Amino acid sequence: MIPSEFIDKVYEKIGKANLSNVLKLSDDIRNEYDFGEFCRQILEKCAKSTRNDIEKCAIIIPIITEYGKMWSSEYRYQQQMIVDCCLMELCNALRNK
Amino acid sequence: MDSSVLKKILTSPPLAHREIPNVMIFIENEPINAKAYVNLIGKKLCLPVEIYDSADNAIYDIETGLCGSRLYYILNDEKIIKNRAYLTAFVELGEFFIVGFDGVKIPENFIRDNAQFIYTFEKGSLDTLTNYVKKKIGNVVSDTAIHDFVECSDYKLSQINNELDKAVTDGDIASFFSQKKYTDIRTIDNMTVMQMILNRDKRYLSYLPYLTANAVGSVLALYTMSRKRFLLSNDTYYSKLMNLCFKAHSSIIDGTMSSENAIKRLAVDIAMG
Repeated sequence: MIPSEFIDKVYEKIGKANLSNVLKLSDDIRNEYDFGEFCRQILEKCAKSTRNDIEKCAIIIPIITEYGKMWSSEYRYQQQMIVDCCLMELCNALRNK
Repeated sequence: MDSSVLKKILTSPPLAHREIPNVMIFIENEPINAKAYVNLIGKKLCLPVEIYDSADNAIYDIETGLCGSRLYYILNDEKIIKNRAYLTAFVELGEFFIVGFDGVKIPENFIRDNAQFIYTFEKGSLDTLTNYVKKKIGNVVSDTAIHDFVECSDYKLSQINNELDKAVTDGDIASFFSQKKYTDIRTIDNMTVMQMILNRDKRYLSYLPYLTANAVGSVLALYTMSRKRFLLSNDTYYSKLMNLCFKAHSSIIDGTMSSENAIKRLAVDIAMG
């Protein structure tokens, strides 16, 4: 189980579309936690979010789902890329919404 | 490795280059304990050591060399050390330590022209190398000394070098690189192109014809370098590079594109901004 404080921190950075800061958390996700579990908890966080975050949820969910599928593949060399690019895409999508 | 060789390395005076920020160590297809030994060398040199291991892609970190800082590479792979184009690319980045593990042979011309310090783990050759290094530092290079410890019996290497020289003279490098027998050399050129991309040097476009297959490692390296640069500079150019590298790498992995085409596409995408 990933500490909820960590999920909150990532969620906050994503929400602010703070790319460089969220990328710094990418290493922790990759090294300390299971990305699949991370995806699940971020989605859960979205589900619990306030009404004002509905638009954000709509952006986050398909991206998280897509990268979650990639993560389950066997290409271990891509793991860093998958986490990074998932977070980057989330930030960029929220920035451009 | 002979324990006496290791002892000599650890008990000899450290080299006076403490200002060097990083040491790059290339380990390719080496036994696992090679990492332990190169780490010891790092301690010996009083330098932070980072290990590049293309075998497991554990760490891709050639960023330091591209930031303009002085960088010393330790190359220990025969395939790389023998590859003139690869070595030439690295000469542009920094100075060298050459670490020759058992069986590794180093081309004499390269040592004479470029190497600053050389360590070797080949039995019986450390003293000779140490003497050579002293001569090199003292600007007194003895061909005889070189021949004492470098076995340059590899006719193929000599032949390749001669043909490359001729191609350069004739101004026909393209045909040289197009020959299948020089796949390794052609592949290495990817690294040069990647460096140009990273440095926003548009000259890389003229190198596109030389981008080749087996470029997955180059794409991964470019990705990691871009990542580090982005985190250092927050420059969105590098985050775009990361995205493009990811796409290129994914295309290679899932087979939708050959590595050669993927890397060319990557370069074109970058050029188009």
